[in-house]
Amino acid sequence: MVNNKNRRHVKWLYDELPKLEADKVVTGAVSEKIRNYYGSLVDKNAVHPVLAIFYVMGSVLIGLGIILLIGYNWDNIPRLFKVITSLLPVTIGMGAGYFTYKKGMGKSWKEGVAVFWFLSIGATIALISQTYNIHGEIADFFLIWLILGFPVIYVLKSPMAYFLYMAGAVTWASIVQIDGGFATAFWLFIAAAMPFYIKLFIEDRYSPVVIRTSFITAAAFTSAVGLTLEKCVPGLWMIIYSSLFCFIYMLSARLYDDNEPAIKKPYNWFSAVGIAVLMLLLSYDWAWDSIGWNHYRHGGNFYEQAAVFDYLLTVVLPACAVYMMVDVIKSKKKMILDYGASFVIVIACYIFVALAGKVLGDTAVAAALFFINIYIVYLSAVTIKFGIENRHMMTVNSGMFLFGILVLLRFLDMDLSLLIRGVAFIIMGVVFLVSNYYISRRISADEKR
Amino acid sequence: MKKDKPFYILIFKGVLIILLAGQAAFPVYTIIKSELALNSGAEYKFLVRPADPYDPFRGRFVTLMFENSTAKAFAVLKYNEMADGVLFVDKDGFSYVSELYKHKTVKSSDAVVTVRITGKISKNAETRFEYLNNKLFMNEKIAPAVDRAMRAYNGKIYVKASVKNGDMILKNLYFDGVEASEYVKKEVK
Repeated sequence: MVNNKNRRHVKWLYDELPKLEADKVVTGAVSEKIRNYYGSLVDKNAVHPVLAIFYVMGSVLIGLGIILLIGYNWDNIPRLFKVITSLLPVTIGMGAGYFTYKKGMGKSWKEGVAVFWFLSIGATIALISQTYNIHGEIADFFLIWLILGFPVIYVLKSPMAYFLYMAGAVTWASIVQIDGGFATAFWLFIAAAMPFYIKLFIEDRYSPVVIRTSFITAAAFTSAVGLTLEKCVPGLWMIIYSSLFCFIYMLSARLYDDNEPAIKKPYNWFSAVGIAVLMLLLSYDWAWDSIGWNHYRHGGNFYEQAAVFDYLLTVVLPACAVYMMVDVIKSKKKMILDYGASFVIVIACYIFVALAGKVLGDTAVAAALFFINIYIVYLSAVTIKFGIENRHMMTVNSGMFLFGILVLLRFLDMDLSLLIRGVAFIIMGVVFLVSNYYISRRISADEKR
Repeated sequence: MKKDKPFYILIFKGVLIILLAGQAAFPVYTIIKSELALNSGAEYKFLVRPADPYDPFRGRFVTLMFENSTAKAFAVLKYNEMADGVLFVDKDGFSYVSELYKHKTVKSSDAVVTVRITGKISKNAETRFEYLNNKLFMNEKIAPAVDRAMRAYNGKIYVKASVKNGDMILKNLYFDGVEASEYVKKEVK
């Protein structure tokens, strides 16, 4: 079978072969040899979406059903029966997993079994803890579930198990942080699952399964950063998040082909949305209030040792982003820098406000806000321009949407009458619709030509 | 000739196999440990008060607040650290922790319970701690009724627990000698 990496090229070659035969460039025998050499394009292991949905839904329903039955908590059942019942889910899960692994079943079935197996581990731990009234903390429950459930990803090579694992890790870290602990170990959980994901990505980054998995990975990384920050130095999150999104954005230009549609490049659009949302957040003065090392926080729920991790990210992520920026400049794709260099603006504003905040007070914050607002307008303009030049309506609308949100937010901030706000919004809506109409007409006219 | 797999792949596979074994071993180990505590551990009674119920995964329970929540520390212990709590029994037969030591330093199989330190302390000072097991799982209909009854009851409410090697397994909740679910059923009638 064709290696996923070459699939697109081989498909092109197979499409060309009949023409080449007709033009007598190659003989029938040679073309047959080429087909035999590369193998079939049909992937027998491909996930059948409808089947996979049914298998996974079935497993989720059974798994959740077991958990709810456990939650019901029958009083009259003898302890021995409860103990045997508690071991049943994981026994079935492991058995089904082993059977699937040995028999090499189809991917859709594998996904269903992986989901059931993963949930069955949680069900068994829950039932035992209920029978003996132990493992009181829900964070401990998730921790054990994640550690024991981790092999399912690798044994059945299941993206669904990967998704459940990542979702579980995010949940665990959230609970730990809410309870006042620190969840730095979350990075170990992510690191443990990375080999699986990287292998999937290298095999075929444009397949729907990998696109979904990439989205989950990007979302998990974004949450991981937020959840594990100790925030002793207020405002470092701006530098860390802007560098992270810019790094991913510029890296995605390396990872994906330019001529693939945006929807197939999850890191690209995820990081672009991330940069836009972050900039909108930074256009509020609360984000800049009391930031920098002059407002250092300690005691209570702030662990100074855990904050070392914040400082590490504050150095490593901008360094990675700078590295990618140099790479982008060398590759002469300078329009990537419109979004990709936003971390430089954020870092400059942060240092300025942290240093000048004491002397200039609110003026320093106002200056930073001015730059950020101007930058968002610039981002909207370049996005619209890029969309028009490439005849891509979705990109044009994204740029207009970003500008619209900025105007909306500023209007809500200002103390204006309802009448003025209403008129402004109507004008904005009309501009939106009319420009869409004209641009799409121009694009279709160009296409006809 | 077959190419040897890199060493780190073998280690990774080893870890996977250990974790897979853990999927079976962990539940069995927990069951054995709990059964040992229930069958051969010493039984104690602890006075309790109610707190808040519900856990989305494990159903209804009653959270118990142990009346005994401070004891004298005989070592320098940190916030959130596990410690050995030495059990004493008062004249009415109720148990309480009155001395705290470094975890796993007290040599007694059935008069020591593992607790978590919840306040900053220094040596030879009274300090706050909590028992690790404070949730008693119950039928979803009975748990809220027990919770309500606990708040209204004026007598002595206590929980019976088995203790072995620091593990404490909660058995049942009592309203002056009447088992909680029985008490609630009588009240409803």
